[in-house]
Amino acid sequence: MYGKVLVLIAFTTVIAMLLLAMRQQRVEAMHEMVSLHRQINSNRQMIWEWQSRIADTTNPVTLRQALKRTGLELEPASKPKPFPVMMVRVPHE
Amino acid sequence: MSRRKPATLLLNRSIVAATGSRRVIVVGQIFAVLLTLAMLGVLWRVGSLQYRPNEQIVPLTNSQRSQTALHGRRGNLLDRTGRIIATTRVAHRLFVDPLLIQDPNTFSEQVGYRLNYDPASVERKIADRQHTRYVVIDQQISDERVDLVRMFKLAGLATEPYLVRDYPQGQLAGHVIGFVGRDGGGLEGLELTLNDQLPGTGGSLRYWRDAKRRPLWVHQTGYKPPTDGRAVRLSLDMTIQSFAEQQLADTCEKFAAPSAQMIVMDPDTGEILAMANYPPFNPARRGNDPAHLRRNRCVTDTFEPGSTFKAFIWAAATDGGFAQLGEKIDCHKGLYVTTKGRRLRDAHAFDLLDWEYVLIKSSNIGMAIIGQRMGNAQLYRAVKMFGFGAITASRLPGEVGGIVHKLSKWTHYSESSIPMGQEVAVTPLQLARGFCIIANGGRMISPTMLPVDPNELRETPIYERIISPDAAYQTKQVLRRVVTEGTGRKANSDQFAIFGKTGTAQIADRVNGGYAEDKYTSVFVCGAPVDDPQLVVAVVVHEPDKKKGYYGGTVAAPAAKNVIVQSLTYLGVAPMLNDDQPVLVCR
Repeated sequence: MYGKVLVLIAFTTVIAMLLLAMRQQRVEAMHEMVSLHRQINSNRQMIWEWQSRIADTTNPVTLRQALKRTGLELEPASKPKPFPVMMVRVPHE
Repeated sequence: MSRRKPATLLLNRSIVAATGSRRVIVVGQIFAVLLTLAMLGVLWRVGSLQYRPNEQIVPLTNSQRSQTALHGRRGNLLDRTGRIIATTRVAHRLFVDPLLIQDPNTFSEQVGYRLNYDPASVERKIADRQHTRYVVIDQQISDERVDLVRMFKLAGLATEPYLVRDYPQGQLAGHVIGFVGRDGGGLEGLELTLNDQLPGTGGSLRYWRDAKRRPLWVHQTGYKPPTDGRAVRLSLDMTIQSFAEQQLADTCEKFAAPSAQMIVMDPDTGEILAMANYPPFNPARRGNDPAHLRRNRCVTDTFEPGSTFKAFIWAAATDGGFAQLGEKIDCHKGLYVTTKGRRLRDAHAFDLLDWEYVLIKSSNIGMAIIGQRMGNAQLYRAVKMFGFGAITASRLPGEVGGIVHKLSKWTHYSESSIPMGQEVAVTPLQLARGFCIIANGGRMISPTMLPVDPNELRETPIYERIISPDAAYQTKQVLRRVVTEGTGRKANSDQFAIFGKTGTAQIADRVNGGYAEDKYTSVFVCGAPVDDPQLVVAVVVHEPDKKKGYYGGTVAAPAAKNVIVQSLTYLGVAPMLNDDQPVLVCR
């Protein structure tokens, strides 16, 4: 009889401990989730900030001034269309 | 010999044992019942706290909840190459809550010393609003200062994040882009036009925290994600825009002109690659700029186009058969009296001019004679079919349709005025769009600030035909000769075959009527290359100093030439062969 009661109490205690442990894990997971949300938000804002700074330093006027200081010359990025293969031009007299 | 326990003792023990077990059982049962009742009581209490908390407890639990606003960012505005023209980021505002200041005597010094502000200025701001709980010290502080504020944790001093709209391109296309108000909504320009696409939707994060403000967990309905606004790509090219704005600034400085406009368009698609105004406007630093500086005059202001209008009437007259190439037009040696008695003069005394030379030499008399031949009805039809007198499809705010009087109000004067570009008022955008029609072979296009996706074009596109391809071709060839032989020689380039028309229009005197003396609008509209036009450029310069030059060919033509040459080179369009180059390439 004593044994059964003791077993019951022990069993109940173990279940309670397990439930508490699960609850604690849940709380920790939630805490981490909140932290991640805040970090995501912070990273988003940091990306916006960097996009703005990059755009600031790469606008055509700033680039042209920088190139002027360095003495570099720009060339068109795309190649011009090729001239026709068959072409005859006679200089005007 | 073992001693046998007496039977009574044995009986007593069994009685005692039986009685003891029963007692234990009873006690155990009572204990179990009490324990069960206690657990049930606890369960009931947990339930009541969860679903019907005491009114005194609720404020305490609320103080352990925090809510963070998650900003929904307004969409970016990009140019056609993906460059950011307008973007949103988070800035921080530094403010003070005077009621939370612990040591008012040293607070300002601490703020000044730690964050590098003038203590007297801080003190003054707090004193001015000490009855409030929100005193702004700095509208926008740097990230380093934000970190310092968090590190020092001065009671009463805090930062507040908010969204701010940035314009990294500065004054480039400032009039076109416009700006937003304090609430983040568009107020002018494309920020206003695209207000239905750009705004984002904010979100929130509600969570429970402990006594040390560390987040514990999020309620299942506590997270509402933010939605960023849609980014919109425009047809503008910031590189070409910078060419245009720089050239306008140089031209206005050289000729002491107070204002000017320039538009660069693709004649085939109607895409606007650049739309420049002088003086420039920077939406990031607008301050209290008056409205007239913020106005996009490319669409809001009108002017008499002068001789540039001859190109459109010439094209319509040629297309309608009212004049033929090679036809001799008598220009009466520079002085002509119309059938209704109006006296007209040319800048030079031309006698007989070929129809092409009427445009090349910009003869007012030659155009008036053809205008009389066409009559008011045909002239009106020609003006309207090129899109004048109505707004374009640009969707830019404030656009006006220009001035084209009703046909019923036209007089015999109109027959000779309209072909010279008088009695009408156009916007720079209308002028550029009209020239695009000539450049693209005679079909109507709609100016657009959004890029045209070639994949979206229908396989059999439907266009409105304005003039025939032959008439457009002939007009282009004659306009090419305007640049090589006529009034537009200062726009002639050895790299690209530019075709265009100059204009020098008098400015109306609104006070006394008629035209103001010594006030002109210098205009030049052109396209290149003539064989396959890639760009159209329209330049309008208002009131240049007459002593320095005022003709369209002197003031506006070089500006247009510089921009069109730079832009075509930037776009990788092949320059034309030089006539001086030798010769034969064949296989």
